[in-house]
Amino acid sequence: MSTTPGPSLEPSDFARDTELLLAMFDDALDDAEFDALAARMRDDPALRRHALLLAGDEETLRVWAATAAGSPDAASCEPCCPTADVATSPGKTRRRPLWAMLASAAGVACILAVGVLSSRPAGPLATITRTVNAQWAGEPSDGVRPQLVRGQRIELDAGQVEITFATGVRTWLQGPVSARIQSDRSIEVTRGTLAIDVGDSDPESAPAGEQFAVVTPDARIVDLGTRFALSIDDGKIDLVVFEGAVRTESLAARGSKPIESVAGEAVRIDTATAVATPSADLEAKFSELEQRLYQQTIPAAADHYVRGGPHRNAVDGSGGGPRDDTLLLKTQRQYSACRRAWIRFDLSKIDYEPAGPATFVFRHNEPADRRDFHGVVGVFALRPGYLPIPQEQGLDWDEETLTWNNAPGNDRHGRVIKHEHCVPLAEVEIDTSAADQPPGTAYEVPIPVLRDVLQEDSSVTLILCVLSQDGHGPNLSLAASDNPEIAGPELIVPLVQP
Amino acid sequence: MPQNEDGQHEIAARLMQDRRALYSYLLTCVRDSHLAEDLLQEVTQIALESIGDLRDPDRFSNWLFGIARRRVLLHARKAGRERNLPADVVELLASEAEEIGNRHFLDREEALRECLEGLPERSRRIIMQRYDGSINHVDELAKQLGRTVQATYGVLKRIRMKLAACIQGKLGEAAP
Repeated sequence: MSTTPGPSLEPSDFARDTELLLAMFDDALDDAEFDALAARMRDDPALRRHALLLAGDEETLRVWAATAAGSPDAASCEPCCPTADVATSPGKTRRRPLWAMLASAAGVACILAVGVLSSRPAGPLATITRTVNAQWAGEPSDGVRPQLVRGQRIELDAGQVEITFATGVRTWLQGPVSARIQSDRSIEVTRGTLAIDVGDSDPESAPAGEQFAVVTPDARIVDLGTRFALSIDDGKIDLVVFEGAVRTESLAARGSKPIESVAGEAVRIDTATAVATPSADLEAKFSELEQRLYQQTIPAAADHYVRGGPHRNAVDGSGGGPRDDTLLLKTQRQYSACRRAWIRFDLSKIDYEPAGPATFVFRHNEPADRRDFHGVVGVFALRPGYLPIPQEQGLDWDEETLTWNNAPGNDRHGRVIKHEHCVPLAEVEIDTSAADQPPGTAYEVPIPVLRDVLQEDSSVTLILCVLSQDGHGPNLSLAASDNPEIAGPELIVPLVQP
Repeated sequence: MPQNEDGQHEIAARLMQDRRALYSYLLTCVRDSHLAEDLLQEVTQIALESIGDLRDPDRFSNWLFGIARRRVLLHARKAGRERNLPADVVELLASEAEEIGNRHFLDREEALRECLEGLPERSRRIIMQRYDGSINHVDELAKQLGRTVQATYGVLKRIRMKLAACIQGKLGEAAP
């Protein structure tokens, strides 16, 4: 055995740091301890090395334990799938570890013979994150938020849809369009118009192989860190680059030189000849989609509803029950039976434009208790600079502990919100019995200036409260962010434009 | 790098050389063995797909850890509210893991296996139960052992500390 040179730890450091690092791997550190350890790792190469070696031990222990417990033979080629669930006992499954495939020469043979590493898991690669007047040629329908898997087709007759890939790449498709999800880094488009924001989805300029590509029957359009739009129609590609650069490789004109287009260029490309011709009138063609690229739709970071009266200190909808995917709203003569919803959005990871307009979107669910709701819902926001009064939770309110009595900005003794720290945004009339308001119907609330509802921690907290309703029995049931079928609350955020 | 069949074998062999260091790096960054395996799979796939872009084969490890670092940061961004190591620490860890290299991880594995043999039977059984994949969390092990979760953490910690000291002793003895 040998050791590699490197910084070493004093014995007392060693024991203390081993303990801390093992706790880190067990997720047993609190936030302060974790942050302190991370800060020390920044400055201490010996600690980083220690962490890495202990991580290696973790794998050794798993391999050792699994082998001793009768794990599938690491050299076996059956089944040769790195993420397959392996039945271990009735009702239990265990993921087949990757080491079982890569631990031997036979494992490598498996990789190459079966191409296992090319067969990615069949999980969702992208999500439809927004629809605008979408008319689908088939499923999916408006209001749902389907996860898209490899090979899934998107056939849109009219309208627009936003598809966000797992890698963070956002695409806007404008009908009529016919497309197919190829991977988390590529989309195949046989006809139609689309705009793409690769933006900063990769932490730095990605090398080839990690770049996003649009594949058409005749060409491959590869992003080089960019925002761009294109339309594909019978061997002709209209392309406008808003930011960065794009490379177009003609598949029809074999051996032709790739065409590189940079920001500000608008060209029509004949894929048969691989010739690009400047076309100034294209910018207007894509202007609407370009604006879409400078908006981002984000789901709620937290959402929950609370009840007054005897439930004022109870946390509703928690505990994994059926109400986790629902926000219930209601008002009565007495505030004690009211239900209100709190929704928080976290914009801290978004390059938002505070002076731009935002839009809040929420959707109603199947009527609760099969009773239709007709009434007016008030939409409020916590005023910027909000400071919680005693008893109230702060800006980082927790949906696991939110109650009527501690919800920030709640008017605990009134039928409607009159809290001085809440600003009214809109009143929305909802009638779930109306034919044009089926479950999944989206209600959009414009917020003229994002800054007017933005807190200093880059969060936005919105509050929904029924102002009036027919009868006092029915609840209004809204889709929460955990709803598996209907998209939960969303905020369409304006992004900084160059 | 070549992309014919021989070349593919060569790439796979290079991936294997760096695999242990790579996995340790990913696990340190994300602290979840299933997620680390998923990321390792992604990194491996990207490496196989884009090997043609590697201009200097001598920098294979550097290139591979670059892919891994980007996948970790991408995951951290997507994970949002989860606790993540800062980006600069993720980068420093990549350099450190590359520098340590697979050889040292393999030496350490050998030492750890010897240390496991030296454990009392009861301790060895507890470690086996913890790591054989049949439980997802220490709570389940605590139930199996009939102990409280806190006591089970304590037992595991003592055994792991003992193993870590044993490894250090063995590698220290073998050091030049």
